[in-house]
Amino acid sequence: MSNEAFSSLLQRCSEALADRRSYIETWKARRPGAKVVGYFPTYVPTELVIAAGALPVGMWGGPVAVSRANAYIQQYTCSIVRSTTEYALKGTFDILDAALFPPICDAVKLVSSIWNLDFSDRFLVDMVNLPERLDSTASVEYLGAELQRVGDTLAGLCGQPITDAALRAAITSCNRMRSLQEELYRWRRTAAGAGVSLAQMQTVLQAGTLFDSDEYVALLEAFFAASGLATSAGKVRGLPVVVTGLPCQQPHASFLDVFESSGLRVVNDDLFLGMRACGQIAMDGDPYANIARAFTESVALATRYHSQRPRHEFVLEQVRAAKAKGVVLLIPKFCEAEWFDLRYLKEQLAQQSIPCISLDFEEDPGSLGAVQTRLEAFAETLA
Amino acid sequence: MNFFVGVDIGSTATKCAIVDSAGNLVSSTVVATGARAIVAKTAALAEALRQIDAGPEQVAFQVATGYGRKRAEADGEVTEISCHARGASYLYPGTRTIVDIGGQDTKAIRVAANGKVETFAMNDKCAAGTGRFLEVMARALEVDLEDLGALSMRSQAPQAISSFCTVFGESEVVSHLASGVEVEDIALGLHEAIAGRVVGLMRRVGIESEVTMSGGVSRNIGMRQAIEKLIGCTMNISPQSQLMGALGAALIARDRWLAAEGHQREDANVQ
Amino acid sequence: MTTKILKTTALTQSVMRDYYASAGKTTCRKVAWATAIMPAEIATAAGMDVIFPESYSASCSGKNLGAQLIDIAEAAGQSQETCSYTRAELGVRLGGPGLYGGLPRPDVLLCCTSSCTTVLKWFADVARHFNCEMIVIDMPFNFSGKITEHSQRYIVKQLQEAIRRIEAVTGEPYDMEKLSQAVALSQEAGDYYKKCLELGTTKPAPMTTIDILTNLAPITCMRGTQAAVDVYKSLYEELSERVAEGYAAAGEERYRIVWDNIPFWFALGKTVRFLSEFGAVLVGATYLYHWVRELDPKAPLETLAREFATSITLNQSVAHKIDKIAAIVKSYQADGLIIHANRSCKADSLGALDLQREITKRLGIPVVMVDGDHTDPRAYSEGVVQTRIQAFLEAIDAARESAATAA
Repeated sequence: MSNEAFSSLLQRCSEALADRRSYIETWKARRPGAKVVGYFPTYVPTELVIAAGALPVGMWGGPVAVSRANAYIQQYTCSIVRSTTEYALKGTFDILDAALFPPICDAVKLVSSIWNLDFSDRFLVDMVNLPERLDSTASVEYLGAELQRVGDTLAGLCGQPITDAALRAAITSCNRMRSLQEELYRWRRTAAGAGVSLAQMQTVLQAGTLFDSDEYVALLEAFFAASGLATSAGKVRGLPVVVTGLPCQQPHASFLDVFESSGLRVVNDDLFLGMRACGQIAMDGDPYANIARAFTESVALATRYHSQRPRHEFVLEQVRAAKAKGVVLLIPKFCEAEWFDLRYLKEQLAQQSIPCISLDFEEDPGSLGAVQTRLEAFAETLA
Repeated sequence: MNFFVGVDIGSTATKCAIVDSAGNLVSSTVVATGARAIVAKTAALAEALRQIDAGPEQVAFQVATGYGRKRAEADGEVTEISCHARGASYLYPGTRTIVDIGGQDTKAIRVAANGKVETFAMNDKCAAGTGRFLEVMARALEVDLEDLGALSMRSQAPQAISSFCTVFGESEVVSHLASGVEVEDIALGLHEAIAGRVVGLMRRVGIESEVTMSGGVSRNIGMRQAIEKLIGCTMNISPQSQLMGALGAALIARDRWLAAEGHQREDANVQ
Repeated sequence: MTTKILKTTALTQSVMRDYYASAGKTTCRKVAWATAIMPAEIATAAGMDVIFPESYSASCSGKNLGAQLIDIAEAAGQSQETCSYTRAELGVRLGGPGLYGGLPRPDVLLCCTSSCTTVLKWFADVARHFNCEMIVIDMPFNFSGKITEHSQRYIVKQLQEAIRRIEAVTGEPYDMEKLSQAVALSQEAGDYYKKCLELGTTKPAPMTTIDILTNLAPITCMRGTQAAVDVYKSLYEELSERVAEGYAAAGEERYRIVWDNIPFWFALGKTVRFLSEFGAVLVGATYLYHWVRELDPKAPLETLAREFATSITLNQSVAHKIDKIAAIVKSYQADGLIIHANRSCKADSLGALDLQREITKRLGIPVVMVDGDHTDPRAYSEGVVQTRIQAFLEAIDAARESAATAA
């Protein structure tokens, strides 16, 4: 990657992610008494956590060998609920003061309830009870009230009330973060950003679920300030594709690297989309209502329903925006939401004559030879 | 005279095919893969050249495919999916759907008239529906794998096998044997179960005539019949099916060389 | 051994035959497909024929059509990791062999998430297929074990929205009085049903779990109808007589067993017969309690909202589920609990490991988990399940021996 500014951003993000405990402890050391609040995918309004004076940290699982968690969760569930439960049992999450879960699917709803039953002695467990449909006139009012309830819980945990001013400041910071991430996606579609791999995007975005939001904003701003001077990436190689299926369980970086080594270039994706999709939250008026409204106006993921905003329209738009030649549909193994969308997305893509391939994945990459063969064969059909 | 080489490096066998500048198959060999892909390739290629009295300097382009394709030091590497499709298309120009049942994986491929892959589906996460399943079951039935197909054809009343898992399936077979079910009925039930899984995979890519079957399991007459019964048509099965990947790789080698040279590809007649 | 056949069963079968025979056949009556735990009274009150595809899939499963239907769905690209009710229904939709020749085409869908989130994905697929509207009632998961005020308000507002949408579908002004009447009928049927379950806990059991399951369809599918009232009134009277004469539906009860989770419909009968070889009787099932509610016709929307959101353990916390199941098991004076580890129903199966530990701890009785699936027979192995059940009965014997020697 000839872009030094990006390499430097990437390095800072990788370092922090490689030793999250260290990052969190350093953060805490600067703020005696401050709390750390973990949250589960795909989305929790971290503005509330920040406004309460706490650090929001995404619990995005990992390729840990699951054994203790088998006493709580059956094996025919997605690896992310099992790996996070394993981490909880190993004590990896003891640094957290709370764990928040959105109700994205049956597995997560029930696992959060299992955590509440079994892990409440370690940290506070609560659900940020987002509506499962985005299209009811009643959803905004409901969510506004639910966010106030969560806010009260967080205020209790952190020993300080959440003021409107603090919430607005948090919204400003997160708005800026999301705006910069969107800028990053635009940059990646230019010649200068064309060399960025999917695994590298994953690292930079995942860092946004760990870093203090102001610090992360500063990192991204520094990158854009410096990269304006960067030269083009040179000849762009690889067949352009869109990858979807990445807002929740994350493939291992080695799995993602197979894309580029198979001759594909990922030009658009939905990595951590749940966290990015709120866009710019309004600043005037009741901040809880504004967060609620932004959520209901966000993009439909596999785990969010809106009768007038079906997911395939978003995928097709991603293809058009990036002039992609094909789509790779990633399915976390055992994920019902993605499996239900698969048949329908394939049909919609076929109607538009857009080639696609689907692959399932777990957090543990396993043997990548088969993945390589499939992606290479797909690239061969696009060439 | 230019020759084009395709080499298919599988986990047990390495196949080499040579086509001439007109795109006709002129030579082929099969050797054991052994420990090193590059050694197997060199040996297979040397033998294939010897058969047509040609030298390595006459090889204009080489493409490697299969499991060991990245270690073969060829001019190009292409997946076995694309190569299989190309090779099957050469042997059967009317073919549009290909099913390949190997030891460890099963592939279904939709191919266009020009031999290019339109779409494909693979099953390699689970042994049921592959040659491995048959091996395990043959042991459970105490029958030689080569005889399993013929045995199944003696049955009039297949014993349905419902498990979708090799482990459960084996215990089902053992339990049926203990209850006195005839071996041939179990064998036919097994073939029908595998055919069901395979045809399910084929439906994902769309079954369009002509259908070609390849892979080690295509030698099993019981499997062929079980699949044909479900799809409602007979399948092309070539005695050269083992070479299909290498043949396709050789044809692709020729395509790439011609494209690089800026020539038009002339279609060769298939004998 | 022969048991008296419940007279009510004939009534139930005739009611359900008529229901399936007439659904969708009257042009002025619109057809709604509803999820199992949907306040369908709002549709019954508007003169709609309401179909419950999950009940239908369960019936197909019971008649061993599951495997074929599922094959069709999976050939079309549906994963075996999705709920098998939805795969069976898809199989029927794609032309597979469904009971009664399939289901009538829906004019509208009524999707309520109190049973699970999966239904939202499934019905969205159905809506696309039939190009019809889907009315959603999002019932938030009651994480604390209780419904919050804002959840309650949200659900009521959605029911109001739903009623307006139903008006648009039927083209008729909605009559709230008819809704109150439908709710009144539902509650009347529900009260009899609840009393039947209570009588069912008598020792010896006046009816077996198979008896009640054979008579379950009206309370699930005939919401807000007189026919449902008639069925459960009849059942209640019949059971009262049986209890009065001390009739034991299954004869000697060496072991009283309760079942948790949806049954594996295609093998339940066989399993019950296997249990009977040891004198074990399935006296109750926790699944039956999803239809016990307290509705008030004077506050129809408020009580529909509250009751449908809280009466099903799947929409309440795992802690609450464990408490409720412990109470149910205790009420049957059960010697053991069989938990069906239902492969493709995460909503009912997750939490079962905690449930198993807690029931053993609190009630001191053996709890066994048996692997299976509600509609997919490939996830079930008869030999394995029966061996496990036999070992479980032996564990009950062992527990009794220790208790006897300790005494």
